[in-house]
Amino acid sequence: MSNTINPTTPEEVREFVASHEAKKIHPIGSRTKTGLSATAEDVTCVDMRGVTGIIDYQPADFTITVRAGTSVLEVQNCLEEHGQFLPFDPPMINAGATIGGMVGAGWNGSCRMLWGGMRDFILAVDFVDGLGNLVRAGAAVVKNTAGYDLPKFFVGSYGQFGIVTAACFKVFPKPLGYRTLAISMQNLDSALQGMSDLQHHPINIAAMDLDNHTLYVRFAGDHVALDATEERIIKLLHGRPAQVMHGTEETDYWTAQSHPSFDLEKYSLIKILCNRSNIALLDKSLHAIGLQGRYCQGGNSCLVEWLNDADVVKLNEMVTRLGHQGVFLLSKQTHRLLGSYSGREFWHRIRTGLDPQHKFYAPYLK
Amino acid sequence: MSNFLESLSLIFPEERLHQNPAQMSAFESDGLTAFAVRPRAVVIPLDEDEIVRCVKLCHQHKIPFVARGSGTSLSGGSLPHADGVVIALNRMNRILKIIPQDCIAIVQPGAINLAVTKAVEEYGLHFAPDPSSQQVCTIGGNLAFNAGGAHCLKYGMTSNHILGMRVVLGDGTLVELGSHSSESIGPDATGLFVGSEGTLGIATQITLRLIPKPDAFHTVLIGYGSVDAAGDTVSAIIQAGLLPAAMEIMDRVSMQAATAGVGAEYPPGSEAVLIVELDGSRENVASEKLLLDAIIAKTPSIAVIVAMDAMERAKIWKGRKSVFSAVGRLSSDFIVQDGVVPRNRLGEALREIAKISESTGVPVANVFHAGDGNLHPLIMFDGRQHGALERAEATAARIVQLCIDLGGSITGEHGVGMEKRSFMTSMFDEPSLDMMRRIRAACDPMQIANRDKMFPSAEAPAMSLYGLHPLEEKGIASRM
Repeated sequence: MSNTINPTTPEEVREFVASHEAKKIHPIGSRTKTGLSATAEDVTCVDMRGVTGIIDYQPADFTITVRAGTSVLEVQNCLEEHGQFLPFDPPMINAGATIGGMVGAGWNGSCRMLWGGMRDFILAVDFVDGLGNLVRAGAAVVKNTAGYDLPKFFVGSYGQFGIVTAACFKVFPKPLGYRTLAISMQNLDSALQGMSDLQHHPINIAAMDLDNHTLYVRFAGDHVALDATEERIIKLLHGRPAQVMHGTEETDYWTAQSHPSFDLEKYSLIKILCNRSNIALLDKSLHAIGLQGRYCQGGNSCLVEWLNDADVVKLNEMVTRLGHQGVFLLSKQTHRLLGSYSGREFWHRIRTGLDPQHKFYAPYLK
Repeated sequence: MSNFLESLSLIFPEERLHQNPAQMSAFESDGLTAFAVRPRAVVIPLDEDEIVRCVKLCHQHKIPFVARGSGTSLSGGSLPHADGVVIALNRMNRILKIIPQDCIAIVQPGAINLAVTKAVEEYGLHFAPDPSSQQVCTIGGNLAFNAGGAHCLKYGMTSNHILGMRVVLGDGTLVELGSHSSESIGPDATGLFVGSEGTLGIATQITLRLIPKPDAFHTVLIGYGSVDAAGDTVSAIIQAGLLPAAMEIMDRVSMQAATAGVGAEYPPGSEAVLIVELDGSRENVASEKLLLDAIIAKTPSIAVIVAMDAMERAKIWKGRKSVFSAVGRLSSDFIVQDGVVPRNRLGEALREIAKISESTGVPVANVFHAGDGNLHPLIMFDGRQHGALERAEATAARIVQLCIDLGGSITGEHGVGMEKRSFMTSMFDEPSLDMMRRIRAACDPMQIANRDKMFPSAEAPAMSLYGLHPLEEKGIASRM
């Protein structure tokens, strides 16, 4: 039976890791990314929600440093007061996502396209390594190349290499406005061509998702720029009719995308990495096993709703055969990675460095 | 060693295995001309397999190696080890594949930075990192040191533009990191490897993220009566929510150097100039331009020069990019530093640098990426004078320490390399450095990959004088 401890300071986390030997250690936040935080073994969970607080926010420097248990919503609200934001659209923030969980999951929302993903905005991390040392990598400035860039490595690390106690992020000014065009494309090929055409122009695209042949393009700017950009996008897509979304309707649409809601008893949400050049084959293969993907972030990832009792072995075979990689983001099932990971050897090496005694629960390294 | 060299000759034919001093002289130093070391051998691989075999052999014999591109590192990052081998990657310079639909290019490590942009411009794309040496520097070197450039504020560093790679670790193991997608699953190994200064292994094939070329620019040069006034304008621009592609400040000495070097012209009476560049889509630049102009109009500017066309824009940048090589006209020798301070402490940093310069009697010119707090103080001295080098070094050390004390970093884009190893202990505590050492040992058990770099341990090799790099003398590359 897993047990949970509730530290309130980084020092308590450090002391616990240094002295704990009984079971594997697994850091958790609000467990909003159910597929990533579920445990199949008897572990000791370290609930980081007591280690909270914004340590430092320098709007003029574009940097914010936050303890791991702080809710992303609190951070977002604080940034909003200064017209800034975390540009990678962290999902599940209205469900209570924490900064530590956000980093550990490494899940960027659809609206990451303007400036990049979480890995592009994390500047520093404080973490407790497997030897029970509280260590730091990176620096709280927007430009730094001293030492190994472990802050990036911790993005998507699933808590397997150490417990992040605080992280520093670069933040950017929030765009003055957004608008979204929903464009019905003739077929998948024309949609992919359209996505590619738009990506070859310096348009301020914040999100570009393809859902069942409808292309949702979100772009940013002031109202004058939005009008001109809308015209440009429609021209680039050869005048295809578009439904314009703005205001609350527009915001709500994208908020819903970063808060997928469905019956977890029946379904899981899977993310598969892809590219526009291989989406056609992936789409065909998904259809062959009765699945449909939503192609997000300009066609760099695919979100698939998966029936929990379907054949996961078959899915894994398909993902592996096509050379993709996938992960269960939201699920009641215990996790596994889909596809092949040739970089796993490198992950193991880093684990040897960070957690030589293998104290942390590391299901994805198996 | 003789066994080792004999085995090396089984991998590399004579014309690609250099062992005599004349052949190796070009590899003895890099952009940090203060150091020069003759290696045991230089090898020139043509493919990944040769690199793997060479690294495995080095691992077996515990022989240090350093991978090298064009040797433009300003921190001594590609300096050879006296007992080691230089693996020169210049012949592995092909752009292997461009996939325009996915906006990616797959290149070999010896590919030249600017050549990538030239190869993809027909698709309306470019490779964003633009270090000043982009005409000659290689992607492998950019990757190893996470190179920057003038446009990092908006576009980020090299790390933000690399999606994946094939890597030979320090024991010869070949691994593949990342993918072709800008999203990732699992820990970001690509992000960790970029900027590891060659201490974990060698990247043999690199997948680059390409972004659309801006279709509009708005470049402005503004003269001010003080550096502080220029700095205040930077703050006002940031507060207004603008995100320029670049914001650069040059002080009076830097302007003098650019004038002496390339005939750059600056508004008379200016103690500092600020260069601001907006770029992106014509729709957004048109809007942002109005906001920027309104901000500038409220500042105590002496003069405002707006680039009306590509030629005028190039002229503004030519002056800025020439500063480092042009300082050679004002001073026979100089050290360029690369510290970073939080942007809101820039003014404080510059005032302190002026005090340090006054107290040591060593003149310092300042040119910096104001948008991201990256300082490039140019510490000028005459190496022929007894003790001048030591005084200049002491000045540089105080400036680096100042950056740390102000909550910044010892390096923004040049890397730690040989030059700033001793400052790592000021920036990181011992447990953090130990943790990094363990990572290094896990990837490179014999610690032969770029040995004696980045970590604060070994003795520095004999120093020579600072001065212009041969490429700078020819006007091909410059430091920034």
